[in-house]
Amino acid sequence: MTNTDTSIRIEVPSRKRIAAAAGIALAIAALVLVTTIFPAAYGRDPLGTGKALGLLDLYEASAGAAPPPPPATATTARPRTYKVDRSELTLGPGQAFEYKYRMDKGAGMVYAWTATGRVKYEFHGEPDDHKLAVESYETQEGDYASGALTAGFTGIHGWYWENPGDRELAITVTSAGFFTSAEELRPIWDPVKHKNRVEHIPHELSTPDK
Amino acid sequence: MRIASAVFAAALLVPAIATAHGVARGDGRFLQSLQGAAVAPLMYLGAKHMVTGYDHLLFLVGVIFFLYRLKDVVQYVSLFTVGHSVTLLAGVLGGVRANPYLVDAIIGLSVVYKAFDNMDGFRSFFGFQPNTRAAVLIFGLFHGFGLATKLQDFALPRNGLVANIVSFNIGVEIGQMLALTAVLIALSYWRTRSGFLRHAFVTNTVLMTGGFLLIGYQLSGYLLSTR
Repeated sequence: MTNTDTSIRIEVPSRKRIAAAAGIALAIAALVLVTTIFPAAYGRDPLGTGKALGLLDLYEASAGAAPPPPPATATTARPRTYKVDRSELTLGPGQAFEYKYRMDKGAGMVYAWTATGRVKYEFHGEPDDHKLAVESYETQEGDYASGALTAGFTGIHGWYWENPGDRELAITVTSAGFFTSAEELRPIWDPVKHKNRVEHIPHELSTPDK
Repeated sequence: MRIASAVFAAALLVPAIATAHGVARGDGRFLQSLQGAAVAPLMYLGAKHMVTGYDHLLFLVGVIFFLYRLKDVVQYVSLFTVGHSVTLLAGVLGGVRANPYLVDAIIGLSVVYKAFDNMDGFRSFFGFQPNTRAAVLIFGLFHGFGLATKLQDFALPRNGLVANIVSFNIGVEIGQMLALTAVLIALSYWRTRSGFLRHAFVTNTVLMTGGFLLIGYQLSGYLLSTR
């Protein structure tokens, strides 16, 4: 076996020199590791160098407490209580529709919905100020979803559901939160204009004490 | 000349201390939100990982340090590429999950090994020269496992998985080509100067230091890290 890559060297270092070099390499690496990497990356400070050089701060900053929670929204007209919604919705084969809650920025809600079959869905919000058309929270396929949402902007927040199957499905939504209204947005075929228009169907909301 | 070699040596060492590598946090969020094949972004991430992944670069510098002919460079780099591609694909597709700290420590070992090899340490101490091509191939396999663990940190969707891994892999090769070109230009220039052979030994000592540092960094991470 010839090694073309080693034949060009003019000097062949002595064993002693190689051993010394390896020893120095190991010593420098160990020194750097213990004095700087230990405190900066792992928060260990055996020699006190991390404190002296301020490297421990790096560890603490990265380990750091989670970012501070967003300040409580200073809405002046804070509602006395939250609203509760339980709605049964039907979705014919190949059809799609949306269901949305009106929420102010910073308002929260919890939700859960189930469908009697697999649907394609997108959980999203549309801001009133139209700075962006739509913000998608989740795009998925499944027969249920649940979670919590804090509205990042004032507008309508809810789901788009699409039934890819060939039978009618029922979707049951249960939500509680500081939304002010709920409505169903159904595309309805307009035979006169020969195109879909969106029909808005408001839903009744109740309060938890009822 | 002394200054030039010192700068070169420092350039090798500094990134090793600067940051831990891996796919950056914002990129991770992107990966987890993926819905299917995303060829260009994954290629970009692969290339970025390679250009900023100093452990792979240190090893490659060691490998091509004494390679003067382009033919040899291409041959050795190809072996490295074959090695890491095999384990990157097999690791992510087959779900083989290695401990990232231990894999990265072995990658550090590969740097130490190559530096020792460049110092002619094997012939001096053990009286034989291990096959250099086989070593590049075998360590390439470990480097691939390291790449795989970086992608596995994120729950990549099954949908479009193969296309995404292959894109990442192609990106890795592009990044490697870019980085190698820069290293080759620097090395070629340095070789025209009289100081190259005089400082070669010192430079490999610095390489070895970087390798030891990587080993220590990753092993202590394995033992100490709680995150």
